[in-house]
Amino acid sequence: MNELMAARSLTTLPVVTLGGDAVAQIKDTVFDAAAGRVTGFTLSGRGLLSGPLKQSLPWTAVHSLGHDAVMIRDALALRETSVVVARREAQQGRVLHAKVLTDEGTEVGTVLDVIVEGGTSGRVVGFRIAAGKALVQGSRRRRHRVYVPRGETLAVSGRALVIPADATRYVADDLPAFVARVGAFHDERKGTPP
Amino acid sequence: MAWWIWLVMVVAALVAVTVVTLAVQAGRRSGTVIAVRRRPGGKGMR
Repeated sequence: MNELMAARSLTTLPVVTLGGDAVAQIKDTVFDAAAGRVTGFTLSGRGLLSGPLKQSLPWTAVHSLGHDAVMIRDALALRETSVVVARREAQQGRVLHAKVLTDEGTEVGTVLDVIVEGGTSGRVVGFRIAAGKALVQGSRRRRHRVYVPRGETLAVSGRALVIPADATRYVADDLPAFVARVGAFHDERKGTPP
Repeated sequence: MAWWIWLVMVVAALVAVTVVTLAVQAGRRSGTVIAVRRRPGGKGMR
């Protein structure tokens, strides 16, 4: 598995061509909820006073998603923003702060971040959530923040994220532990008869 | 009014405009995570 990254940490990453030119920086991360993959990024300009760009970066044009930059072949790879996300989708699909529900109907927290796999994969492997009491028995003063793996039957919108109830058995407190839990989660689901 | 009062007012106005401009730009540039649904073979699919 490639390095895991929080989608919010991708914001402001430079978009760099293989020729070495920084042509933009990441604004929003867009992912396909059903396929569980990043489909692209909206962009903003590199200058201090520059705002959002009319162009976006589809995932098909990404050479590699790294810790410090998103590499693309050349600036011709950029497309109209509507290719990556329509304006209506952008307004309705914001997942941060959405409720997290299990498929059994239990609310287990709210979404803080989306965890994606870097490199050429772009897979969405899980979520960082502010866990409710139903998930973690913790201090009342400080909300417990945990990672949960993405289920295969995921449903997600700007209002709620639905995960399999058994995914809540694989929560982890930090990213290194989460990598191991994701592996165990998928191993168990592969072994489960449909 | 004394000349230095005008100077203070101009500097204060410039600072205010700069702060508002930077705040607006920060808001426009701040990112989020968006979930969409794509049909197989549709836009954005590899």
